[in-house]
Formats: sequence, C-alpha cells, structure tokens
Amino acid sequence: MGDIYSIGVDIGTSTTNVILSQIQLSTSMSASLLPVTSIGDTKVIYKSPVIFTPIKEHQQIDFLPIRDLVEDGLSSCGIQKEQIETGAVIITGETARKDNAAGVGRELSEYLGDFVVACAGPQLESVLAGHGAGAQRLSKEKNKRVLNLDIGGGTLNAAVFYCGDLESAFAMDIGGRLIRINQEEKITYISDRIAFIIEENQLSLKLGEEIEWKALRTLCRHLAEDCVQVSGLADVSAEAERLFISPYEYPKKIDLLTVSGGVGECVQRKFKEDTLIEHCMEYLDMGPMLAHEIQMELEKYPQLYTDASEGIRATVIGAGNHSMTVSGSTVGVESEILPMRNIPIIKSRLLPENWKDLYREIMPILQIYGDNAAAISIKGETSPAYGDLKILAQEIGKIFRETEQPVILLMQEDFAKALSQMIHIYGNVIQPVICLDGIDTEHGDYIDIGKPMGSAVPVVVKTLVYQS
Amino acid sequence: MEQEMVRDISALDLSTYVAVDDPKDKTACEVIKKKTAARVCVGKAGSRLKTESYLRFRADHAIAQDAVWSYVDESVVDELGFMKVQTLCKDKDEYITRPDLGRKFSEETLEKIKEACPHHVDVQIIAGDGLSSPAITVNLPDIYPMLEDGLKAKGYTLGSPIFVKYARVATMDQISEALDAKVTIILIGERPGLATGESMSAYMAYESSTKKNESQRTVVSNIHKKGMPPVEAGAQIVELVGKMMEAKASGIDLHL
Repeated sequence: MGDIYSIGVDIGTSTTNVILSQIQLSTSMSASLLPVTSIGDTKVIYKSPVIFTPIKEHQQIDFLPIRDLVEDGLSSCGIQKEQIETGAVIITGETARKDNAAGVGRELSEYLGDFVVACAGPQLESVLAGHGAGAQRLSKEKNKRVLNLDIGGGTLNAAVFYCGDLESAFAMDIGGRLIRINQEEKITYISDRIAFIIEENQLSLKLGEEIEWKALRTLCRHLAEDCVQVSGLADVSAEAERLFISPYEYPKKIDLLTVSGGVGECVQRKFKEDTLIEHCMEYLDMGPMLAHEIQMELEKYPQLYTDASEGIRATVIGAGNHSMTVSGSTVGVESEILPMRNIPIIKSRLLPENWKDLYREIMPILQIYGDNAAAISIKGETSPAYGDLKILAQEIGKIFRETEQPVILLMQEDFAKALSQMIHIYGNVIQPVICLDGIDTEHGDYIDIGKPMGSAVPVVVKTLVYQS
Repeated sequence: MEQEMVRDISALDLSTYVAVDDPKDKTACEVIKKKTAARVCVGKAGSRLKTESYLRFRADHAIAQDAVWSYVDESVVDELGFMKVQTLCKDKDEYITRPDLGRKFSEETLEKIKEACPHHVDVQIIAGDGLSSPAITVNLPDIYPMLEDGLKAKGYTLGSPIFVKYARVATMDQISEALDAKVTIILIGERPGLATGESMSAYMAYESSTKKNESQRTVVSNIHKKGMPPVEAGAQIVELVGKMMEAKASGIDLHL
C-alpha cells in the first residue's frame, strides 16, 4: 500500500508551527493468513519556521497567518491540500482558552479536509508531545519507564511511557513565557497562575517595573524544583500542587527523563550561567533562565536525564505523526457514514458474563446525548463465546431500537466483525453499524473515525475537544 | 499414608514466566516473551535446560501428541446436527501412516452422503478431526453457528453439515464432487505445536474438485482462543465465501 500525507499544526500559548509528514501504510499477512494493514515508517517532510502565535485585537486568534503557514508548507512540498489524509490541529495552553479557539480549530480542520482533527486538551497534548519527543520510542526500545516533560510558553505537559505504552499524562502551569519583558528590561506580563509564588516568597517582580534578575532566578528555581517533584523524584509540595491543570497521578519510579518544548530546547542547549540575561533579552521572557534552573536540577540525576529527539517541535511532530492509529483488520464497517468526528465514547464496565445488563447500564447515559451519535466501548475477552456474543448483540439491539443514532461499538479484543454480524442478524436495527476492534479507549473520551484504508480503519482517540 | 497431589507442571502460564536466575533486566525478558510463543528466557543449568523447563517441554509435547491421538467428542458434533462419516482409514495408526487413505471414502460412504444430504447447495460445511481432535471439540460450537447465521443471512443455501473422522484436507474435494456444492468449507484440526494443541484451520474452495491443485483453496488458519477467536474467524469466513460466490473463484484465482 502507498504512503499518505499527514499534517500537524500546533497553535501554542506563544508559538505556532506546522509540519508535514509522510506515513507509510503497509499490508502484511497475519498468523491466520489474512491481510493486515498497519502504520509503518513516518517521515517528516516539512518543518515550518516557528512563528509567534498570531493574536488579533480582543484576544482573538488570527486564522489567516496560520493558513498561510500551512500553504507555504504545501507548496514547498509540491502537494495539494486534498492529498492530506490525516493529522491534527492542536490548540494548546492559554491559547485554547481564547474565545475563538474552537472556531479557528474547526475552520482550519475544515479547510484541510476530511480527516484532520481539531483538538485541544492538556492530556492529549502531553501524550502527543511525548511521542514527538521520542520518549515513547525510547521506552519501547529500552523497555524502560520514560517521562517526558514538554515545557512550552505557558504549560508543562508530562507523559509517562512504560515499554512503549502510555501510563499517565498530566499538565501544569509552568512555562517560559509566564513572565515577559521588553527591550527596556521592564516586566510586561506576569501570569496570574504563578502570582502566588511571587507573593509567598516576597519576590520583587512587579508588572511595569524593571526586572530584578535575582528574583526571577529564585522564581525559576522554585518552578524547576516543582518539575523535579512531579517527576516522582521528591515529595510534591503544596506549591507544585497548585500548578496542576489536570488530574495528577504520582508516577511510578522512572528510569529515564527527557525534556522537550521550547524550554526543553534551551535545556538541551545548556546555556552558560553568564549568558542567561543575554538569552532572556533575546527571547524577552524567562524561558532561558527557567531552562538553566531545570538543567541544574537535572544534573543531580545524570543517570536519568537524556536528550529528547525534538525540542520545540515535539508537539507538532506528535500531532502530525502519532495522532492516528488504525483498527484491527477484521472489522464491521458501513463506510457511507464515515468519516465522523468528535464522537463521545461511553465506556461500559460490564464483563462478558454481565453483558445481559448492557441496556440498563448504557441507556441512561446514551440518552444524555440526545440525537447526537455516541460510541460505546465494550470490555471484552480474548475469545468470546457464541452465546455471550448473541446476548450482547441483542442488548445492543434493544438500545438502538430506541434511538436513531448509528450503532458505533469499540473494543480492544479481536471480535468486531463477529459482533457486527451478530447485530445485523439478532439486533433488529435499521441504522448503520460500525464495529471496530484494536481500539484502546483507556485514555480518551472522544473518537474520530475515518474512511477505511486497506482492511483497517484509521481512528483518533482523544481527550477533551475544547475547554469552554 | 496421606495422599498428596503432585504439582501440575503445565499449570504455570509460560507466556509471562521468566526463569532466568537473577536477570539483568527482567522487564526486557517479559517484553520479549510477549512477542513470541517460543521458549525464551527460560534460564539454564550449566549447558542444559533447567529440570522444570525440560519437564514443561515434555508436558507440552505430550499435549501435542494427545491432540493427534485422541478423538473428537462426538456429543459436540451430534448436538450441532452433523452427519458422521469416516474415510478409508481403519484407525489412527493407519490415518497417520497412510495420508492417501485419509483423502478417500468408500463407495458405500459416498452413496450414503449422496442419499442423506441435499445436492447443488451454495455452501457445504465439513468438520474433520485432522491432526488435532481437541481443535474441533473446542472451536466448533463457537464457529459453526457463526457460519450458519452469517451464510443464511446472506441468502445462501446450506447443505447438511458433515463430520469426517480420520480426515485430511482433500476430503472436501470428494464430498464437493458428490454433492455438487458451489463453495465447500472444511474446518480441520491443525498439526499441533508446542504452543497450543487446539488450533484449527478453515480451507475453502469454489467448486472444490479432486482434479484441481492445492492452489484452489483459500485458507484462514490459526483459529483458536489465543489466536484468531473462532467467532471472529466465522464472520471473516462468511465474508470470504461472499467474495468467492461473487467471483466464482477461490485460492490463487481469488483476488482479495
């Protein structure tokens, strides 16, 4: 099978950039001698310059410069936007809280075509950055637990991978542009989220006044210590706790740690102490100083730290290369209703012996979505019995005879095609049926489902669509 | 004397058990073991296997041998309404030593089949013990109703299902010729390995015939609870039969 083109657009708190990549789809034979479609190599073929996120008056994101950036990329690679088959537009950090974030995301993904998803949400960003930074690959190659801290302008996004699998992800308000200065060394911006640290430690950092570098250094040291704490290397302080913007789970003992993002790139560059002010004046923010303090902290753990494979582009590369996965290759799909986007996932907790209670479990939740489609994820077993599957199909029929929404079922284990056949025969439903296996919904709340490619179906499982 | 139970050496799940003494990286061993059913990370005693690994190897080999030398639980095929016939083989010994006899029926058996079963059907389903009887005993109750449901829903006519004792794959050709079925499917126990003794294959052919080559057949293999689940294989076979009926072809002539 051929290659497909994918796009990643990262619209962050402070910077925006675009990548284009080529994803190879390969077909091989399974142990049962059936064709299996899987994602092979991915290659980044274009990296845009990193620009400041364009903001119009009234704190609105300006769509046009971002579209221009995308068009430059397309024309320099000589591809048409119609050839882009997948990818993600990610609006993150403080930018996601702008009034028109949802609109811009939608506009851009619609401009780009069918299967480019628009999404925001701190946890998904953490996961994609971890992929883009190479932490996931590293954990898989070395069979280790790897934590990636992606530190950008406004937020820190952390993801823990163990032997290639995602274990946890979280986000915090730690970033390089939480304090900004101008050419006259005056403070032009202090983020509300860190004001309490300045106050509690009586640091002389005030908006409009000249920057006091020593105080800034102390603030950065605090934030660097917080980074070390949330990495599971020290007890989490009350200060660090106040900075979380998503639920946090204390990571298990990590083996390796990587740092990506704009600040991560500065960590990798290892600025000399006497050049820090100079670098801060170059970026007009506290980023280089924060990076230096983090680097100092990490030097205490030389066996732990290793350079990430990407810096500022980790998120966008994750978005372009890793947002899409493919389903198993024996599935049941009525593709005329595809692609579908932003389908909420309802997770059934019933084990096969209790499938007979599925109607009772799911119906009240499904009704909340009214006329909108929702997908049900089924907890299965490796090889369900014919009788159990029939009960499941009958329950599903009972549910969907009461609504007009399409039947969308997701499962991890390999029995989607069997379930689809069962529903057609014993479900008595008239709407289209989509059953996909090989789908891990553990870390997601929404799913986008594309048109089939080869014998599989491309999907993107994601977290929150937009914070309002 | 009080009776004690002997520990069941085959009870331990080998797929996750690392027997290397003091491994440098136990996690790595576990990850490697997840990727293969081969006996890796079993440790050693000097230049040899550990006693436990060796005994387990023998135990699993015994399972494989039992799979060949045991018989299909006939209550299973009876319950599903299969008609029972036997090839020219008299017993297991002859079945193992004379593959040619496992491909043929006596004239009387063929007559019996012709009399009892409907002719000119769209799909004829056969189950055969092959080299693993447990494969049929265990998988047939889940896969057969999937096939029956799915093929009937597609509007195909089904023949009476036939169970063949001492069956080889090519048994299907004679039955197909006798009944003039369009597509014939044989579900047959695979030669067991050390990973499982319950693996089954489904061989299918359009106008299956003794005059055609092996390449007339399409196959779905590795059907068992740890491989391709029998229910899922059933749904997949239904789809493949649909494609064979449309293309009026199978095996290498069927382009999937």
